[in-house]
Amino acid sequence: MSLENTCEEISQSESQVENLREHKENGDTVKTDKVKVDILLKATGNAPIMKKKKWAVDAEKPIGWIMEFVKKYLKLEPDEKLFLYVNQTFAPSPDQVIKNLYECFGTDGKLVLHYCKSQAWG
Amino acid sequence: MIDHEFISLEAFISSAESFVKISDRIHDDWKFHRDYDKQSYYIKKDTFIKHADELFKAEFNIFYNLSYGVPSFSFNIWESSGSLLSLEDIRRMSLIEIKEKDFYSVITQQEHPVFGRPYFVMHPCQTLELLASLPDSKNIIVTFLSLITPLINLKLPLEYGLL
Repeated sequence: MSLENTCEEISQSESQVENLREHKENGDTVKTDKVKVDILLKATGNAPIMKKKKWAVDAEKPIGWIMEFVKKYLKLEPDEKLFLYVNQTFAPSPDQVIKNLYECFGTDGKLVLHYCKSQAWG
Repeated sequence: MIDHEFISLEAFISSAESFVKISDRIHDDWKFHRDYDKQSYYIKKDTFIKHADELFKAEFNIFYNLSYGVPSFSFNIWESSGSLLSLEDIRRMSLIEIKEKDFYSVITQQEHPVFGRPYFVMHPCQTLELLASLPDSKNIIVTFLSLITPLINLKLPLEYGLL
């Protein structure tokens, strides 16, 4: 099942995708034609907060890339695990592309991600 | 929903019911099994997974761990010949790079608390702490399962996030 199909029902996100495309068409001034998505990172549980919460991220990047970024930004120990959540409920797989998540879970033109850290999985 | 000490069986059951409802809608094949006499409550999915052009049969379960009072995850994966995969085979199939030491500290093969047969079971010790860090979770099973899916090459459709 392709992700485009699975998200078709959500008309709101459809219109946001349109917006995204318009941005792309109008974004001639930008050197590259990469689409950026606004991401809001919120700490939860025992995770430290980030000074800068809002980031514009390349829409084609996988979510695992953001995980690595946040880990570096927060200077986490190598054995600490970082988890990113949408809707405070669902942790997408690290190979999931940001664009897909934005289409499914984006609100008000941005994608809100909660993060928490842990020493282990189990 | 999340108590300081454990996750109640009622919370597990209601999460399992809404999880299976989504699964039915998108034909993801998770089934909820419950037996009041045996105190066994679990959701189960039988599926096939493809890795490096080979097909494997997999069985995934999330059961209510009575001793720890948390949802727990267990699974078995078989080759097409029928032989059971070893933990090392499973680590190599993992979607993320994880060190042997880390992987073995998370998953062990043991007698299943509900089924009584050998299964790979996730250690339940940290589960509560992880779930407690997301107190606004709309479904603990989604929260819990999506944590571990990258470890074991199980794809969880995005629909589960739209609760």
